[in-house]
Amino acid sequence: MFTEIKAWLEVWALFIPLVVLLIKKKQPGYLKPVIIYLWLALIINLLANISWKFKAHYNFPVWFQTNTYFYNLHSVVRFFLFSWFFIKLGQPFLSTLKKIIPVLFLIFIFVNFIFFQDFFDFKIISSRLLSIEAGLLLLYCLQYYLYLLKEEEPFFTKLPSFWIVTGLSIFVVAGFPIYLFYDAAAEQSKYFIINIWIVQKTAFLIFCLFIANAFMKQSHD
Amino acid sequence: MTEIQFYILISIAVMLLLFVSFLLAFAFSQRKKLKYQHEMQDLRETQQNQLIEAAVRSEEIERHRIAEALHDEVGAILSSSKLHLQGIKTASLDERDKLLHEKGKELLDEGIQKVRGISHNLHSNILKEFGLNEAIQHFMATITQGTLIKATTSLDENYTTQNPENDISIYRMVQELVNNILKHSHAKEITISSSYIDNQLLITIFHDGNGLSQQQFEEYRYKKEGLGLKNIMNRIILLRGEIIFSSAADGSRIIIHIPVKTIA
Repeated sequence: MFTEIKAWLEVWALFIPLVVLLIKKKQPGYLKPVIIYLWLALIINLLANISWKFKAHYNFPVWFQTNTYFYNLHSVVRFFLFSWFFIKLGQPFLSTLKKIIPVLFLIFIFVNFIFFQDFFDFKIISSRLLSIEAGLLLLYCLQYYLYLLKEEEPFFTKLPSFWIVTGLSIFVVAGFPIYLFYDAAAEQSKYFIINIWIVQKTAFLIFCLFIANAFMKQSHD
Repeated sequence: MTEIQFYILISIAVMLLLFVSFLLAFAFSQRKKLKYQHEMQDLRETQQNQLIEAAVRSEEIERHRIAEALHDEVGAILSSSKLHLQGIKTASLDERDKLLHEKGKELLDEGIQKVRGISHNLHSNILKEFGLNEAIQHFMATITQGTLIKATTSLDENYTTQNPENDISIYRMVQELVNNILKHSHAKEITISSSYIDNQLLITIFHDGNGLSQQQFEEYRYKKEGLGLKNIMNRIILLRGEIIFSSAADGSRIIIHIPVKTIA
């Protein structure tokens, strides 16, 4: 039972903020990218888990026999939607940089997946993509905190954006080392990678809880 | 455990530790700023109160000065003029001059009465000697004397002066509000009542004329011509009280709520 709960964590955790969203429907406009992310993440994670858990029982097509590229897809979706979120916050701080980062990331995706890696690699997730995505999101998070420090916002805990950014920070901080050394560690021990992935899952659960808390705050930044 | 596994675990621990430290430092810094902002706000409020207090006190001093000048100087001149006028032998005057003399005496009497009235209004002698309730009752009786307005007072006798300076402010507010009612509302009946419970003084001024709503009061008190309302608000701020204006079909109400600090 516990193994199943653990296995489906990345799916059911998303229902926490989504249920809150159903109760508190009226949310500020800048949370739209986060709401879209939750629905897309739910679809992607659900497909990833179905393919992983049921591939042995059903005769899925070849492209659905593995879930590695779902993680790549999730990473790309997460990055662009959260970039949009940070830009939509409208904080007049490092505005140009915030707009350049998604362009640079897009160039990186094209270069990396045309010349160096296969986006639809059925064997392994793209450690490079996930670690760069985590690093850039962390950069966004840090600039958000710096802006709050600069603006002397004392009631930061009342801001929904603060909870989302903090949840995202925890998620990327915990995930970054895993993604960075993922390829090298996977070569040495597959079991270690499976075990260490629980850290990433726990961070994802915290991330979802923080988003749910942000929806509860329901105020305007 | 291989080297790479060790590095992953260490990296996760270090990254999380760094982030938690950063978050704590951030929270601590923001809390410090919040504390500083509160202190600054308190300081600003104290300064504002001191300014209001100084303005109210200086206004009171000025009222006293004018009242004394009117009473002692203008009043004395008018009384002396009356004596001189009374000294005129009217027996030798013809009918027209007698009438003019009589009219002059009447006008002089009226002038003396007016000066006395204004002087007493500006001065707070009754308030100091007999307390707030007596001063309000006396003021209401004087101001409605000779008019068709019916004035009623029902004041709580349990209230005793705790701070004479605060009583002056309350009295001045009542004076200003009643004057405004007489001037603008076309009221035929004014009732002032008060209750004093648990160190909270509640004064209600009810009248059957056209009164202000809370919104109108807020609007007028920022206007140049709304000096009286501005003074009322200053006194309310000074006394840390509140004033509520309301209008209904049966009439209008002004409720003044003042927390009274007891002197130990």
